[in-house]
Amino acid sequence: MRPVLELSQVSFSYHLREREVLALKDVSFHVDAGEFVAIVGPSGCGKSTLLSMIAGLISPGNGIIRVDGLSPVHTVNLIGYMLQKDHLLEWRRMFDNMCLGLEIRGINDKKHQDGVRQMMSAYGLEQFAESYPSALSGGMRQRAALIRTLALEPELLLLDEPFSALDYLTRLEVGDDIGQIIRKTRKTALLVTHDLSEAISLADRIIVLTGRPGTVKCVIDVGFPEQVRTSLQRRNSPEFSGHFNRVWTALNNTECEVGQNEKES
Amino acid sequence: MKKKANPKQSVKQLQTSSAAQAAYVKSLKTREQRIILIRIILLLVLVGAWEIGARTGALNAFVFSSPWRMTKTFWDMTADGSLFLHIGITLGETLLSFLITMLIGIATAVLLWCSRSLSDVLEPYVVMLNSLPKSALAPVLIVWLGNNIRTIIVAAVSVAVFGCIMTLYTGFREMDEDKLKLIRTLGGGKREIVAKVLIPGSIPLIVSSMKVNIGLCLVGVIIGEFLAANCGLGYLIIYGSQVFKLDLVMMSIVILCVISAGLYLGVNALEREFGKEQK
Repeated sequence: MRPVLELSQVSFSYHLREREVLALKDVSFHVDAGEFVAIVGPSGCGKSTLLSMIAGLISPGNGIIRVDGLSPVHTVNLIGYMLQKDHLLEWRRMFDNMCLGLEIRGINDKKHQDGVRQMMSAYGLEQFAESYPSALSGGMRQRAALIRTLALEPELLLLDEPFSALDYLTRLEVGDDIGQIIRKTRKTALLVTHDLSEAISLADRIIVLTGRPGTVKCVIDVGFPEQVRTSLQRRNSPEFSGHFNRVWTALNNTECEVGQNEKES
Repeated sequence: MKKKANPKQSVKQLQTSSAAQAAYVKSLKTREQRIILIRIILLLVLVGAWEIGARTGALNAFVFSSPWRMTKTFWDMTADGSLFLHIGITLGETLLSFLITMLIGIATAVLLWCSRSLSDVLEPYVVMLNSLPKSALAPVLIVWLGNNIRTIIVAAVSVAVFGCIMTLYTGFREMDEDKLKLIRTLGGGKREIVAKVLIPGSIPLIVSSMKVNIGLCLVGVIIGEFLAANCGLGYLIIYGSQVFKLDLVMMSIVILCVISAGLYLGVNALEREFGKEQK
């Protein structure tokens, strides 16, 4: 099976007048269809830059990125991007906010709008269709942002710390919800976060990046028993702390001692 | 996570509230009424003092005019209808130049926002033109455009438009970068960013710049009428002062006061109309 996302030897530098800052160096990994992969790393290791490159917003300095076998410049329509904040437009009603992407791509038709309505009722937002965003709580707003993204039926979901702007309780709840939504719809997802427990509670695999310049330190498989499905169940399962320690060790040791999947084959 | 109180609910709370609350609301209302009353008294005292001063000879009524003489001029000119022509001309010119100012202002600010290079190149020129006293341009405009309404409109637009461009451009620059990124991640380009985020997100900014510009356009129209008109309130003021009909001059100034207040209130009403949408 061809991976949905493939990066090989990707590097990126920021250019300032005084100097050049190497943000990412020789990053290689892949994400298969239906997989949920998390990227963790210290702040400033270029995680968000990586997502911007995959989304085709900036082009990599070196290396190759392929989404469904194509360069990201041509795959904007295959990608759904969730930003840190919900960025619902305050002057639009909720339903119009969720149809924003449809409008921009010129596919704001009955069929797609029905899709949005279905998701709204599935995620408990239907009675807010005509409200303005200011009437909704942070968790509901973030769910609405997810619907806005999913309305475009993306092949690959990029999640750029999508829960970090929420308070802790909402964050657990919405993280759990969104994790289940993504699993149910069998979306391929790439999550960037600095919250290790969030990564472990959601992902199939975790890619650990080093500090700047960011490069892949190791890849850790996160295995849970069959009956443990939701992210809250994962947090309560005995395997959780083992995974946490492995990721923690990987992040903090200069040498990666975990020994699993150290190099992508 | 702010939740706006439902207006209906708050009314209900008011009705069922305690005596202390009722007393508080009453004291607020009394204060409001008192302020309006004092405003009216202030106006009456000023006008009365002016009139008495003119009648007793403390003020030279020929130079300072008087409320009574102004009223008489007002009635005479109302009777032959000429006053409405002058007011109408000035108002029409102001609204037209205001419209042109806003259109040019918004279009230019969007253009500058879209092209960083263009804005970097043009910035010093816009700043210079903005601080240039536009009345200095008026004589030149007469030579270029003639003794007609075009000169007046161009003069008025030139007074307001550069400040308008600068205000809007500065506001546009402060637009949340992530909102722009959002549109790009949804597959939109510059055009979608302008249409979906930049303009709709800047409505409060545009309306507040309208408040300033409607006044500036009136200033520009009066400057223009001073020099290049044979009707309009600006013309009446200049004509009146030249033939020493100070009643005419003062009356025109009072009418201008009323017009400028009216225009400002008009834009204010517009602002409330837009403001309540998003709540």
